[in-house]
Amino acid sequence: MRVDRIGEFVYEIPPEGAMRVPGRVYAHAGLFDQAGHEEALRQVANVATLPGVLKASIAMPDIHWGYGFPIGGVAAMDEAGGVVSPGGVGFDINCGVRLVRTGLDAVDVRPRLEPLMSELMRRVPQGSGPHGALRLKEGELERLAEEGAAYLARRGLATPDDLAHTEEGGVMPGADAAAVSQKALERGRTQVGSLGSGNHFLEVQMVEDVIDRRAAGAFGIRAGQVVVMIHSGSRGFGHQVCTDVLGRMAGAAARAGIELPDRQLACAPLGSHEADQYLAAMACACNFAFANRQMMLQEVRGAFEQVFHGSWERLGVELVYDVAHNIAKREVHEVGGERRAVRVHRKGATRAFGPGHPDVPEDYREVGQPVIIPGDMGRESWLLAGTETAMRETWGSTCHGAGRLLSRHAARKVRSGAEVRRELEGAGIVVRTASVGGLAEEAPYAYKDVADVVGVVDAVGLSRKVARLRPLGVLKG
Amino acid sequence: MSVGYELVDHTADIGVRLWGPTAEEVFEQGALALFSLVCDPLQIDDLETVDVELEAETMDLLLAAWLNELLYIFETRRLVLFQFDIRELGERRLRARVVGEPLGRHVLCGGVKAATLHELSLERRGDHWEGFVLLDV
Repeated sequence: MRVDRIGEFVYEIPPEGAMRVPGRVYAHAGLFDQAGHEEALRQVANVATLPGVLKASIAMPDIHWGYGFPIGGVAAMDEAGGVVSPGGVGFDINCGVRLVRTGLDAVDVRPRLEPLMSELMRRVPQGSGPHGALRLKEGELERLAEEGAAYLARRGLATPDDLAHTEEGGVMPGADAAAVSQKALERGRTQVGSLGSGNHFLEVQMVEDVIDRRAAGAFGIRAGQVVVMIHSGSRGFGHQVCTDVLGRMAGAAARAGIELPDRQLACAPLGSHEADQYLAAMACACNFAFANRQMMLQEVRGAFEQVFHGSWERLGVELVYDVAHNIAKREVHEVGGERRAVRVHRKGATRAFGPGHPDVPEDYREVGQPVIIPGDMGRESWLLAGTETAMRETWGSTCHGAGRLLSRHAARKVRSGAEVRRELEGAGIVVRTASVGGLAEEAPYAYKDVADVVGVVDAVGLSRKVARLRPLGVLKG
Repeated sequence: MSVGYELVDHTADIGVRLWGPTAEEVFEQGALALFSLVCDPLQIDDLETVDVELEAETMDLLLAAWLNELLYIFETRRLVLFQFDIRELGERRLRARVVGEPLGRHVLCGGVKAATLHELSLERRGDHWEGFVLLDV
């Protein structure tokens, strides 16, 4: 496979074989030393073979080998003649990140950090399976799946401000609970308000450095301030939605004798019954995830109230923004000089709409959409803002995180979970986890330095650096 | 080398290589590999039995469906499964009885989101069967 360097941080895979469009990868030269990079680039090329793919199969600088799409993959499909692929969304539908600001400074929080982390651990269940904070009666989960965070607002568990500062207002359109299997509903019933396992986390962080004062001001962010970052998705509900549809679509392709480059790229033509059913169920899973992160925000508020003795309103525990990074959305973009509806798949990529876009909340519209980029638990995370360049080049998309460098197995061989915990605590980071073994898999050295990833998207203009955040306390899934 | 499984490195996920003299044993090894990543059984509690019946278009899709079904049982019934009795296995259909214990004071090993179809395979090679499944973790 040929890969041409066409800019300092931009690479192109010219179309060959069944590729309908080129591949375009935004990356640091270091990508080519990374294990698994050939497989990841092959996946970029595979996505370029899908019917109706427009302009290019794109990958962000946190690209790594996934299944179906590469992690970090972005592709927009033509509403006419294009497809939707569950492999372009993944099993953890609407996995995403939410950033919460507080009115407290690191100096106020540090002395109470241990009890705060313990309280957060008590309130937010971690690991696979355990029960979330919300109990749902017959029929209520279906409502939540169709109405997302707005359902919680009706129950007094979300404010209008929370909804306004969530992508899609916390409600993905087109959700129909009738398209969701009983199995998915069963898995989801007890999981609203739970973190999950793997790379999911809840961190208490401090704003270490503000790069763009104007944008930070609009986002309510200032140096020294304590913020909370929540990374989680649609839990078993979303996993089951993807499992259900993928088996059907791959089976249908096998029956029709269609050769897919990867069965995880199984897809259905937009407008077909099969596609409509998936999109209706996917929207439900998106809503589940918005509600899941909202419930955890409520628990964060409760924990701050308990530890800092005041109402969350007085403590200023407010949502900055909530972004999805595994999703397929209908959006209007410019294609060949005209505005057209396309289906943008983001698999490990974040929406990054620029200033002035009507989908950016009014109070942020002048500076662009907030983009939240979690790093690893030892170093740093970032708050960015969307740009006009992203609208032109990447369907308004940017990176989503640091990207893995070491496999979980390789990471475990470097150090034990107990050693990783000691190192983090040595650096002043308070750690809480249900799985010390899992800590080894998620150790800082298992990830690329997020500063490199953010450096690339900032340099090529896909988003703008606003603030750097440093972990104080980590709750690992 | 006659029957077993091996975990294979993959950047973000975990691959599982499976082998055995029969397809049934490959399915059983897949289940054991999966639960080695989910939760080790203590085997002290009351046992519970669940019957599984599945259909898929091809036998390898059936392998992925089988593992996903076990994850569904783990999450909804809260059962740590450790015995997998494949009672019927055809090209498109599986029937099995699985045994587990209620999730209690177990140490969770992490978690698996799903069995993916990426590089999924199952084939007969001479006198034994081989399979591969990539798990999203």
